[in-house]
Formats: sequence, structure tokens, C-alpha cells
Amino acid sequence: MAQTFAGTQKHVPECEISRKNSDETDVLLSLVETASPRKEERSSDAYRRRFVVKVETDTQGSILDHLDVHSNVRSRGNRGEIMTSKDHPLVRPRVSVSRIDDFVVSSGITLSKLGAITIVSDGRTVPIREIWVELESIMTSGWRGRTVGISSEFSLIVSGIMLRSVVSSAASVDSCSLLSLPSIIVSVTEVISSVVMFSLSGRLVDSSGTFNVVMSSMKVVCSSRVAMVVICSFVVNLSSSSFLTVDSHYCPNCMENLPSSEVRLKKNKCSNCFDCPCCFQTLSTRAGLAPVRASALTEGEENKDVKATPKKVYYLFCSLCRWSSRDAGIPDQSVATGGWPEQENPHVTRINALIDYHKVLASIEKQQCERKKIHPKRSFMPATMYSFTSALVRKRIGRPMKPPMQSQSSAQPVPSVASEDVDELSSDIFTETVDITKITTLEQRLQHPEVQAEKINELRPQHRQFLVKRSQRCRVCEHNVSKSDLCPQSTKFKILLAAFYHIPEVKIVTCEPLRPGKSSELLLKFCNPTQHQTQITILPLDTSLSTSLTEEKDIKQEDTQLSESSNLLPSTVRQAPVTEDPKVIKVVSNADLMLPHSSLILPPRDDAAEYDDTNDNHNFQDDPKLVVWRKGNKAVIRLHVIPHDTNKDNEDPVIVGFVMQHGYVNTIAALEHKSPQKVDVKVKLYLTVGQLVGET
Amino acid sequence: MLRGYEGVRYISDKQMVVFDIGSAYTKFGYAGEVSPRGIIRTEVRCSESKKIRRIIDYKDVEDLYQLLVDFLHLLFFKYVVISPKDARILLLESPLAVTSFRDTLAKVMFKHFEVGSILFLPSHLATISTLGIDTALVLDVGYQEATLIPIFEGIPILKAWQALPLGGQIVHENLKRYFRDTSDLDLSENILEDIKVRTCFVTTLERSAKLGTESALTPPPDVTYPGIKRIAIPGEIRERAFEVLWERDNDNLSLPTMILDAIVKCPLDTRRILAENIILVGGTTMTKGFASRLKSELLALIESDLYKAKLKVESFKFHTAPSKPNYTTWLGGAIFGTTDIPLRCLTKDVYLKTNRVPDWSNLIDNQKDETSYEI
Amino acid sequence: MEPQDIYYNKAEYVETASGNKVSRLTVLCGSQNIVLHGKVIVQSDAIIRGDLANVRTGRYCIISKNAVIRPPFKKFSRGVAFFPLTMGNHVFVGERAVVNAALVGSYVYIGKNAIIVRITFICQIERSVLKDCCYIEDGAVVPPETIVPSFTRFAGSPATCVEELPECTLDLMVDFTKNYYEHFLPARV
Repeated sequence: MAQTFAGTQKHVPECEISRKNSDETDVLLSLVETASPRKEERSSDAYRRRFVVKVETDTQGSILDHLDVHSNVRSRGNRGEIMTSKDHPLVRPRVSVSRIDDFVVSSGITLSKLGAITIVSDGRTVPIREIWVELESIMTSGWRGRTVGISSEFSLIVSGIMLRSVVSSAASVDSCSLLSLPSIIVSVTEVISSVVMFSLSGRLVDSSGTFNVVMSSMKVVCSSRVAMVVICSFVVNLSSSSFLTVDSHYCPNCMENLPSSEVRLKKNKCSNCFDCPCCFQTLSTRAGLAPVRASALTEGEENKDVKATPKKVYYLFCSLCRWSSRDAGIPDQSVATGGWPEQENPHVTRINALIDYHKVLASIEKQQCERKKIHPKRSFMPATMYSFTSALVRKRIGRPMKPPMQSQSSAQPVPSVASEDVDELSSDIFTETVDITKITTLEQRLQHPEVQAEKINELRPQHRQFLVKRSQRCRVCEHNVSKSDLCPQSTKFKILLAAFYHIPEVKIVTCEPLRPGKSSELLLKFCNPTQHQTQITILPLDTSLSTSLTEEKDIKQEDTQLSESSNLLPSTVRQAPVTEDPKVIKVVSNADLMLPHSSLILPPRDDAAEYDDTNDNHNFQDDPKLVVWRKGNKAVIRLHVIPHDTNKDNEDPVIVGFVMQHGYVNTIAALEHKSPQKVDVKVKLYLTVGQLVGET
Repeated sequence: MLRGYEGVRYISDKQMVVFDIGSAYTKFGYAGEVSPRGIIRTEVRCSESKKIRRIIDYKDVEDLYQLLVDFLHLLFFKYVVISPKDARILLLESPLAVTSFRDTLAKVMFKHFEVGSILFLPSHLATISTLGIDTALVLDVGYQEATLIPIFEGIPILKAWQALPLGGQIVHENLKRYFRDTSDLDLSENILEDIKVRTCFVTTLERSAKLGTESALTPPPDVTYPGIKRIAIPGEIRERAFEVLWERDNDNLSLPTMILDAIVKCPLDTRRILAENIILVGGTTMTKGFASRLKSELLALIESDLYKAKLKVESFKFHTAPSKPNYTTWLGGAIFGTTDIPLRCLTKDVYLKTNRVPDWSNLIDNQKDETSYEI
Repeated sequence: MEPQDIYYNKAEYVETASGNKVSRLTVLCGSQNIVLHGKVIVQSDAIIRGDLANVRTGRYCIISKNAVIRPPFKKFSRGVAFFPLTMGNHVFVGERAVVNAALVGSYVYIGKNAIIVRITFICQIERSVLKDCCYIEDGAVVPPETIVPSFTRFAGSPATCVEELPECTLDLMVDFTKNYYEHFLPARV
């Protein structure tokens, strides 16, 4: 059977065609695995393993004249064709395969779509009864990036190979039968990936927004996770998936603040501050007296003055590792700032010439594209960098066309000349002793990539990198949710909508020792940071967080005025928001929480109350079973935790989860509206309440 | 401090950012500049465990996604300092690299950072931009593996690709094994790398033949590695650390055979030209004595029975790029990135519509009348 | 996590009218040069070297046990000079920390020892400037003349920036120090 593959066989090292005897009714399509150069196949066990796709048909040994492959997905692709060798007895020369790219629709496709392969025999379609792939072995090895081809042999060939043969032959001079290659290759990459990867469910926000309240460690840590979350009041959208933009640049050492155009000019480095090349700490400028010898040599006439008042010179010094610019042989400077010699990259002119040359090539290509819209693929760049197979196009239109203007172009730099001489290993490496402290580490070398000095005394101080101030914007409505003051010293914010200021803070006060199956008392302190009274209700963990758009992120609210809030968006035309796939919460609660029946009302935050010692409790009608303590905008409630019995080995800490619903008054949106919006926000909380205590 | 006026010409608001994310080190900078802004380890403090983790140690795609989010955040806001939104990114990637990594990277770039466009550039092809020629045999010896793709007249001869797991990592393992066996030391990867970089070298072919035999020559001097606990590094291990790159494996393959095998796979009339246009890139090739050893190995092999009949090449010539080998590929990308080629970029709009990254190994991107990225 | 109440021996501590709580077991050299701006806690065995130069702290500073606050000095050709040390509001200095900084801004957290190490100082800051809202982790050694910018977390030896802090660090520190003060209570007899 293999002879039909004569044209391709040499590129298909492990092609195996299995077919049952012709007197049997089944036609087998076998899927044969071969080596593809993408790395995962090379490294994984899947390499050289075979997978078989079996296709059974009802044909009674009759001659097949068509092998139609299509799926039930709407197609936009071209018709692919296979040319098969004529000497095969069973198959007519033309086997058409339509809609080859059907299988390549995005990752939503599942294997069942493959079942739509039909084989047409004697003008009638023969349904395939069964098609299967040995998925197990594929899935375990993280197998990806392979394509399946269907050849005239009724063989599904897992390829990469097919493609490679197309590509490589185009590039080689003996252009092997390009047209005779079966070029129907159906990618099942996506199919497999969808099986392997997307068995995930559940949703969540970013890790910093998981509202994990960690019991151990200090408090600053536990609330800072919540603190990273920002809230956009315009769409009352709680998420940490805001995107960041760089606001301003400043030097962390001298706090100089520069506009971004200047920063770019200075390659994002401070011109005055230097880092130590050895230990990467800040260098300080030290003043010293000029050595007499140096001044005598250079100053000449002024020498007398210098002697009268010794001239001050400056050098750089690291107060941590005691590196100094004098040790490195850098001459002292007469001014305190600047003037330090820069290390030049010796290749600057050469590289600039190369850049110019490439620009010329690109402009030629662009011109050609504009002139000949018919062949936009003709390429004049040194290579069509992106797609390998535009080489194929080039092949078809004849010999690679040299840019016609190349000869006239003065921009073409002298091509690099290869030489037989290479840097020989110096023979004294075998005899000379090595002082390792004089040899630079890789970090020190990479600090200055252009030079990568090998010896310590060749290191030069490096300019300090700027830091940035950032602002955050909501992904949905593009409003700023945090914007800092421009001044690098300032810790103030022009806008700061951190969740910390909007979502009630929850802290664990105490928790009784936890025993599996037994109820323990858990005290939680709630604090209302807003200017409005709020009502907090604790709901079971499986409460749906909201409707509609809240599918995507788990921290959401039931926005009763959803349609209205969309009107709040600024009138500017915006792109559709890019939604990032929500992350999956991996936290699993392993304890039950006895939910309280009543809810808790927290008065607004009152900064003046701090100085007021009268204990005004606002006379709330609290459920004494629930509320233990209350002061100002804070209250402590009592809950009961029952850890599950399953967690016997006591490896994992006990985690309890619930949904906190609280009223939230949207004051910012109210600026555009007449009255403040009131919404109920639901937040999923997981509390790590501690380890189990042994069953006693 | 401006260095003359170089760089000024290329300053524009939409300067391309060039990333070469290697398995050990990431090179980053702007297109049109002569050297990368920096080279940093491809590792990040994991936001969950608070431990430094290398990107290549990812467990699954989801884990990789999170690591890349953290890592790129660091790159964008600490090192490159640019607002990623609508930025133009040039990513150098080996055509032989892992697909899932590439897909995940694109997903992070577009979905999390909302970059404007990404241009994926095959690293081997980009490398020749630094030479001003269009034919070269590019051997990239990095951390995890050595890969080779010959390029003839600007077209990669993909048929002749070669890849072997020979790189910095295997040298580290070699060293690690040595220290574990002899002095029962379990050294961290960072210390091993430091030892490798500061003390080890590639010895000559003549000496290596005698290594481990009776007639071995006097080994180079020992080195004491400073630290809380001093480590003695015998001269022998300094000399032998890199030998693992030259030893033939079970399939009789090593670095020099990669080059020769690739040449053999190439069409007849390209072979001599390729052999005389070799360029070595990647950090491992910067080791002292690497190039000379490679050359002498090649010359010895070509005379051996293995290749004598197959290959008639007399000399091997090597190019020197206007850069250090560990960022040559980056430089190629930086040169290429100055050309304005919107056609070849994968833009955000297209990505969000199609949700996939075109790839050479996928037929849909390789159709006869392919019109770039039209859906 | 709500901080646990810390009970101190009432006899040990002096409480001033402005709310400072200072242990009697501290070493306050040159106390006329030390200004505590109210609601400051100085715990036992802390050392404040007011004899070298002025030391001023803002409100709600917490100086933990065995911490050392010492004004920085600078060597000149004609000798050594000490400079006053100013500390902002809401600063937490952890146990055994050694602060030689020239300036400690407001809302600064300076870590303490987590594990007992042989070295006597656990977190040392020498002649450096700590801007507002920064966090020095336990065991960090900030090298001389370093400027720690706002919203950064420094760790390691020599200390380097490892992370950035959330935008609302200011309020977190206010909350933290206030809470600490509120929970620093005299022992019930």
C-alpha cells in the first residue's frame, strides 16, 4: 500500500498504513503518529508512539471514488485537493476533500465533530460508523500542535510531517514534487486541546482578590490581599483585573521626576544616580583631594593655583561593598554630578547601517505591495519572516526575486564575512591560577549586556533605572480607579477606589479549637469603611453571586439598575472590553458554617468618633445571639464552625466559606445621577480558621 | 546621559518592544536600539507561594498563565517601563518551541495586558538580520537545548532542523552530579551556574581525548569557591564540565553532528555555502573555547567514516555578529522591528476574533492563497 | 485577623498625658532630646539614643522590644557628626530592629526577627532614607545611604525591592498602629 506515498514517504519517516484485507468490509483509517519538530513531541513520551484512528464503513468492498471530509461546522475555507498516484487500484485519481479547515475552528470543537467524516462510494455516501482516537495516551502526555491529514490511502495521518514536507521542499532547490503532495491536512490540535484543557469549571477573580483571609501571620498581610482589589464605582464592579498604565517616571534615588519623552531618550535611566556594578546598590559621590601627580600632569599652567587650594575631585563609592571608581581606574571628576565616561558600544555604526538597510527593504516591499495588489505576497524582505510558506509562493513565482533596487541602494551594508578563525582557547588557562574573586558573576555581566566584562576591574557603574507610578483603569468602563499624585514623594492619590474603602472589612477575632464534627465558636469583626449605613447578611457559600454579567467574576453585585448604569458610561466611543478568562477558585471549604438568621446593621464610619469616648451604640436592635460587641462602625459577631470529618490527617487548615451580602451606596455614580444608587453587593469569602485539634 | 545621537532617530511613541523570552534568561528592549535594555532571569515570585519560580517549571497551562502574568507585569512595569495597553510587541520564538507556551503567552499579552499587536519572529531567521547576509546556518545553544535551522537566501530550510537537549542545563546537571558524588554537596542551580560561568571552560579536542585516560595531561589549577562553606573546584571538573556537550549520545548525536546532519539534509548546492556561514548564538556558546572546539570537532568529524562519504565540505567558517552571542537573536529582532510591517503582526482585534495564534505547523495558516490573518 | 490584646504590667509603663506609653525598662539616653508626639508605645529594653542627636517621632509609633533607635552619623575629614533622626506618624519598628536611618517617613513598617539568628541585629537600617509607605521585611539589612521609595517592600541582605505595596498602604498602616495601640492594655489584676 505504501507505494502511493512514494512522493512523500521520504519525509514521513514513520508512516504506517494499516488496512485490513480487501475482502473485509471495514475500511480502516489509521492515524499514524510521526515525529513533528515542535518540542513537546520531541520531549514527551508520545514521541514515536502510534495512535490509531479507526474508521469503519459499511462498504461492501466496492470501489471508492470519493473521500469527502467535512464536518458539520459552517465553513469558509477553500477546497483542498489531493492528487494521488494513479497506479493505485482502488482509488480514482481525484479524491476531493472539502472544507478542510473545518476541523480547525477554535478550541470549542470536540472530537465528536470528527465523526462527520463521510466516505462516498459509488456515488452514495457511506456513513462512518465509528471513528475513534486513542485519546488516553494523547492526553497524558500533553500532546499538542499536531495535525491530521487524510490521504488517498484512507489513512488519517497525524502530521506536521505533511506540512514539513511542503515547507522544506519549497526551500530546497530540488523542489520535490510540490504539487503531488497531498495537501489536505486537518488539524486536530484544537480538538485535543479542548479535551485536555477545558475540563475546568468554576470562576474567580485574581489571586489577590480571592478574599482569602489568612488567620496566621500578621494583620497587614491579611488585609493587603483585599487591599489590592480595586472597585469601579461606575459599574460597581469589583475586580482586580483592572489594567495598569504607566503614569510617570521617577528615579528612586534622587526622586527626579521626568516626562516620558525625556525618559525614553535617557533609556529609562537616571543621568545622575549610579548603581554599583558589583552589588547593585546605589553609589554615592565622595569628594576627595586631587592627587598632586595627576593635576601636575594635566593642569599645567593652573598648577600653582591648584597647589594653593587643593582642588576638589569627586569619585564614586559604594558604601556596601566598598567598590570605588578609583579602583576601577575611572578618572576622578571635577564636578560632582555627571561627566562620567560612558562605555560605547563598538558596533553602533554597524547596527545602524543594518537598520537602515532593513528599512529600505521594507519600504521597497511596501511599494511593491501597493503597486501590485494582485501579488501582495511577493516578498522583498530578507525573508518573509512570518510565514514559512510564503516561501512557497515565492517559489511558484519563480526564483527568489532579489529586490530590484538593491544594487542601487547605497544603504546596503557590507555583508558580514565569515572567517575560519575562531577565538582559540588560550593555553595559559591550563596553567594559570584563577582568583575567583576577580572574575565577575553572570549577574554583574548582564548588568551591562553590551560589554559583559569578565574581570571585576572592567566593570563600570550603571545608571539607575527609573521607577514608575501607575494608574489603574476599569476594564469595563475605562474609568480611572486609581491615580496617584504626580510628585514621586507623595503618597497621596487623586483617585483611589480600593475595595478597602468600600467593602466591609472582616477580621477573625478568635476561634475556638476546632474538632472534626464538633461545633466551635468563631468570632468575626466587621467594620464598615463607608459613609453610609450598611446591612450585612451572611449567606451560604453556594448562593449565586448574581445574575447576567456576574457569570464571569465571582465578586459581583446584583445591580438592580444595570441598564441605567450603562448609561453612566462616558459618551466616548469605546472598544468592546477585553474580558480576561476568570480564574478558577481552587479554595475548597472543608467546614460547615452555621448561618445566622438575622442580619447585622453597621453605622457609617465617623472619623470624629475616635475622639469621642461616649459609647454611642446607635440603639440597634441587635440579635444578642449574633452580635457580641459593637462600637462605632465596628461590630463583632458570633458564628459556629463545624469542620468536616473527612480532614482526618490534619494536613490542610480548616477553611470555611460564606457569601457576605452588604448594602453599598454608590456615591460616585450619584454625581451623575440625582440620587445615590443603592445596591446589594455579594462577596464570597473564604476564611482559613486554623488547624484541627486532635480528637480528644 | 545621551550617547551621542544614536537612538534618537528611532524614538517614536510606538516604538516596538522586543522580547526574547528564553528558558533561562529574558532579553528585553526596544526596536532600533543597539543592545537590550537588560537581561534578566526568566523567573518570578509566584503570587501564591511567594517563592521565586522559573517560568519553565510550570505545572500546567493555567499555572503557566499565572506565572506569565506575574512575569510580564514585572517586565512591563519594572524593566521595560511601558504601558502595555496597545503596545507593539515583537516576540522572538523558536519555531521548534512549545506550542502551548506560545499560545498562553499570546493569551496573556492580549487578554490580560491588552497589547496592541504581537509580531512573532522565528528566532533563527531573525538572527541573520544582524549579519547583513541572507544565508547562514544558525546554531542556537541555550539553556535547555541546542536548536539548529539552516537559512538559505532568507528561507529557513526547515527540513534540516536539528534539536538536542544540549545546553546550559545539562552542564549544570553534570556539575551537580559531580559535586554530589565527590563531596556530597547538593548545590543550587544558581551556584552551579556561577561556578560554570566563572571557572569552567571548553577544553581542546586533543586534551579531551586524553581526559580520563592514563595519559591525561596535568589538569588546570583548582579553584576555591568562596562562601559560608568553601567549595573546592578541582581543575579536572573545570575542564570536564562542558564535555557532556561533545559526547555522542546513544544515537551518536552531539553538537557537531547536528551541524553536519543538517548540512547533509540540505540540497547539494547549498551545502558548501552553509558550512562557510555558521553563526553561533545563545549564552552557552560564549563559553571560553566553545567555538574553537566546535571547529576542530567538525574538521575531525568530516574526515571520519561517518561523513566522509556523504559530505564533501572542506572548511567551516563562522560569523561574528555585532553583539554578544547571548543577545544576538534579540538584536536581530530589534533590527527587524524597526521596519514598519503591520501586515505581519497579529493584532489584538484579529486575535480576539479568532482566538488563536497562527502557527506554521497548522495548515490553516499555510494555504495556497493565504491572505495574512484574514479570517 | 484581629490583633490579640497585649497586656502589659501597669507598674512597668509610664503613660503620659498625650498618651505615650513608655516602659521603665528602656534605655532612653539624653531624654531631653527625645520627642514622642503622642500615642507612642516604647516597649521594654528598647534603646533610643537621644544623647547623640535629637530623636523625634510622630503619633502612633510603636517601638517594640529590644529595638534600637540611633541617630545616623557621617564621617567627615574632621571627625564624626550625628544628625537628628525624625520618624513620621504611624511607624512600626519590630523587635530587635536597629534603625540608624536619617529619615523614616510616615506609615512605615520595619520588620522584626522571625527566627533567632546569631547576628544581633535583625533588621538594620543605616543612614538611609525611608520614604512614606514602605515596608522593610523581617531580617532585611538596608545598606547605607539607600533611599527606600514609597510603596515598596524591601527584603534580603543587602535589601532590595521585592514587591510593591497596595495603594491603600497608608490606611492599612494607620489602622494597624491604631489597633495596636488600642489593644495595648494594662494587665487586669
